[in-house]
Amino acid sequence: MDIESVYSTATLSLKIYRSKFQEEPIFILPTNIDNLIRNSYYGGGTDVYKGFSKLVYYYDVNSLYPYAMLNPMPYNLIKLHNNMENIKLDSFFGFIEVEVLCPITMKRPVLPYHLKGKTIYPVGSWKGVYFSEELKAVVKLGYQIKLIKGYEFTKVDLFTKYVNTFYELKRTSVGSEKAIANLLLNNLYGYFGRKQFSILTQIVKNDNLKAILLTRIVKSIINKEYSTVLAYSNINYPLLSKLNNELHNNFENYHSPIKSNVAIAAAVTAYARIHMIPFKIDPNTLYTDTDSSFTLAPVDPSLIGDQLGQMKDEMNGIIIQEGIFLGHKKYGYWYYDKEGNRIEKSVFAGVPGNTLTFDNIKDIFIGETITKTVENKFFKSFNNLNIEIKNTFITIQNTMDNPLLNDQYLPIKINNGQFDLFGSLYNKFKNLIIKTIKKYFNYKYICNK
Amino acid sequence: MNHYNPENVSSIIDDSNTFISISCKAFGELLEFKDSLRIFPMSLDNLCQMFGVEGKLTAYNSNFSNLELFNNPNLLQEFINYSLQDAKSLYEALFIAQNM
Repeated sequence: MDIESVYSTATLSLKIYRSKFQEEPIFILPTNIDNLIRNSYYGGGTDVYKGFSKLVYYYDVNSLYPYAMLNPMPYNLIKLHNNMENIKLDSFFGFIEVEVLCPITMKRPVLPYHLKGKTIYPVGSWKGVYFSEELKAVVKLGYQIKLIKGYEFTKVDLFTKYVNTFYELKRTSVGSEKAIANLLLNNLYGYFGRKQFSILTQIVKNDNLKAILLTRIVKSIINKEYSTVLAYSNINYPLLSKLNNELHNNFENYHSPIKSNVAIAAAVTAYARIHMIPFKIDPNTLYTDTDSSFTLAPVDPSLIGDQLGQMKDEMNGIIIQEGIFLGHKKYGYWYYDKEGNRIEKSVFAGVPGNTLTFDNIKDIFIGETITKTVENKFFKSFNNLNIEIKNTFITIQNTMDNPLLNDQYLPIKINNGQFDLFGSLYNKFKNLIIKTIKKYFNYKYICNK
Repeated sequence: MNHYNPENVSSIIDDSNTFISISCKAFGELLEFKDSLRIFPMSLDNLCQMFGVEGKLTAYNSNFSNLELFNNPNLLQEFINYSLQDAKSLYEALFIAQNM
């Protein structure tokens, strides 16, 4: 495979898949179907169920997404069901627009929902589009689902040979070979989730700008002596044909074919979330992030191993002495290594890994703001097309994605897809109280109990 | 900057405003710049370590991105050395990857 011919690991994975493993053609979905199914495309779930704990175990799943890819994939769109009255969820395979009711008594909801640009795991009621297999999994937990409209697909096994080949290579090799096998395993499914457009930039003389503006969907223009136009590559082709017919013109679409199929990507991530459900709803679990779990109880040894989908003990038998979980990809912990040395680890989005001390994490936990120097940070501006690289200070504080009440998780409540008004006011008041208590009174109360 | 016509430069950007490629027609050739980070999503140092080749010899100096660089011969030479090593180590790492 010629590395020069690819633009990303995902493209490289796809080329290898297509040349050595693909047995069935994969269809590109029509734009309207792509747009609808894209609503069901969520990433991995991340949740904090408890802020502070002592004696913690840390596990992750071996190659969660490749493991999810072993499941039957949605393949050929066979029917659109506008009326789902006589259709049972159990016998349906595909994507469904549904009304969801998650009981407010649900302690750890697991079905994602996009609201105001964020993914939340709410209780309450809303409408959404989901992969049928994820709905089947959550119904068993007490979710009530009303089917509205269905996009029925055939099932196919697309990836088993590919995944097994590269997982075996990863498991049995070392160094660069292992790393490449890992990259190829984890990057293939993401290719299918690509949006069906990219953005082309073109520098044109201002005199020629009008012709460009007439024939492109423009995202942004930077005007100087020349204009730099950022335009969507794949504009609506049928619309363009109609326009050409009406105006007796011959405008051309800058079509750059992106061979995506979001149904496959959405199914893979849904299967991965399904696999994580037992770990998320376990009351011992303190924090989960996509494929990992920090928990107060050791996992059943039969679930641990080096096979795909099995759990791996990230600490190799060592127990974390104290862990603080602040939010999505924001946590820190410490432990004694086998030589008895105290080792501290930190993960905080936007801050290089392990550069925060456990005391830093404690300070953030009780509401303090701390500052850190970050060297060679890139500042990129599309307004003036300037890239600046400089050392800078960053302030780090806990923005509380989903605040805990008395250090315990309380799910977000929504009604008909919107934040519950009373609940929002209550939450704001609650957050204020929690912040005040943590900052000024009793950090020790939380840490020592 | 005087060697090419600005209209010969174009690029592809993804939906999060990250460059996929920058193309430029110059000297009768099409030059295409790609981001190696999209192919091997790790730092150049880690990439070099992975493939067992020599990586960066010095850390990036943030003054390299200041145009005053061209008025400071020592810094300019440091930048040239840095860039040459950067390109050399990336090439060597990709060369090994290609032949695996």
